Amino acid sequence: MLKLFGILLVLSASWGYAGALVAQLNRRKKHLFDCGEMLELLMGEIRYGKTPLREAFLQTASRLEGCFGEILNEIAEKIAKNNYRSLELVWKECFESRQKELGFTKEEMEVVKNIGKNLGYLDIQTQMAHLTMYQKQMEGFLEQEEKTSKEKKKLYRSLSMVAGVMVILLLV
Amino acid sequence: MDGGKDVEQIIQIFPMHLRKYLEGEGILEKNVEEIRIRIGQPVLLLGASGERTVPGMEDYRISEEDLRQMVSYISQCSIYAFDDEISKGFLTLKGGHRVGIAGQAVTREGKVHTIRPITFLNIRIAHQIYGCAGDLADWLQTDGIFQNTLILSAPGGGKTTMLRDLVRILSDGRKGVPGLKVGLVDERSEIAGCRNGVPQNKVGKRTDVLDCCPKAEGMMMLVRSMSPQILAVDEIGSREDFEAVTYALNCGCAVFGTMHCSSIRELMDKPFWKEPGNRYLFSRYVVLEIEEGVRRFQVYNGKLEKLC
Repeated sequence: MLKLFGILLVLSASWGYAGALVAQLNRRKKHLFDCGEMLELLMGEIRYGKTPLREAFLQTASRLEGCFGEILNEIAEKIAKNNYRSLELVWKECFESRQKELGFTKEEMEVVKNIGKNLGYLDIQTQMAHLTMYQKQMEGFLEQEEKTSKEKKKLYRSLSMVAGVMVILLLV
Repeated sequence: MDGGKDVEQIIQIFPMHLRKYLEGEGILEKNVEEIRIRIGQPVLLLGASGERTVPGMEDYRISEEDLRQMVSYISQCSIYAFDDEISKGFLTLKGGHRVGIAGQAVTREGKVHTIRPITFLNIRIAHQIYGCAGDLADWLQTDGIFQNTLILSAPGGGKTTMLRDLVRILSDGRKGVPGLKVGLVDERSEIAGCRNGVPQNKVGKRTDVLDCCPKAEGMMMLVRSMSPQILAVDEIGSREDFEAVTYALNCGCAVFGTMHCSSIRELMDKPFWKEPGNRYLFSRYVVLEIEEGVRRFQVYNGKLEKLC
């Protein structure tokens, strides 16, 4: 009876672990989508209203849910204090501090951090061109993720279950 | 009454390591009208009492990095949002302070497109003097109706300060005198000192401001859209400006304007005066003068007869 209880416990733990990995995958996919949405809204603010970045960040943040809105609010707050060395550094620091939560790969994270590099000192056309470039890159990551996520999910589930069965075989 | 200076906004545009020198008591408050910033040069404070350096910063020279940071703070890291202002050579800070800029001009089709890099700054501290036009207002009306008025003075003579206070007084009204709807065309953001369209200086509760708009076009727009009783505009001078003034007068507005001109004699030498039609546009001319640090005014009627 105790053995059966143990087997069930290991199997459910393996299933749970697979579920956590899948949830992480879904979260990352959502964050890639949110990042694209953030850039779209930012471009709208800049293109139509010529809104200064601080206001543009606040406006965009008010339309976003989740961590991107929080990050933009944090950047806007830091800009308002006028005690930063450069916007690039503020942007980089704020996104780096949320790296774990975002769940991005190293390559994706580099792109997100680089967005801040070209903000603020350019004319409106070049600013738009740069943001569009980063938006396309994020879209590329999202497309890639959508293509592979089904397989990844299957793989996570089956590997976790196999690992669970192995553990059971070793222990029993 | 001196409206005072909100110098905190100015200190905030300096790099962190320089702010402590400017935060000292009275450094920017007293008699400072301009702060001059130039790469490789010391920070200079200019005022009625002359030119001086900032205590403690006598040997400090402004670096490229200092100026880059200052431009970033002034533009809120958003040069694109201020490219029109930059091409005109100035930016306005919260609090109504104006930052004149110079450096390398980038031209397109013969017109200044932008200035890059910006290597010189002239921070003009906004200075409101509430009530400075209080005595003047009475001289500008006949039977309770305000007359078209042109305020004249040499550069730095206080035309804008006087016009701003006049706008505020007419808009808010005075004891026994109801306020009027005032339309203000502020092409260089000097009068209302708008930041994102919001006046930073007190221009009265019945004043509508058209900020950063060409004067002639702005006057026409305000007359059509806001039905002002008084139209105020700074530094008129071109043919288009006077055509717009004529248009406003025909629509029943009284126009208050300013012009660079130090005396009535100089006015008579201006192309404006030589155009016969323009002589009948204004019924009051106010000449401002500074004598031994005290601002005085003289008022003339449309025939250039002295009233006071």
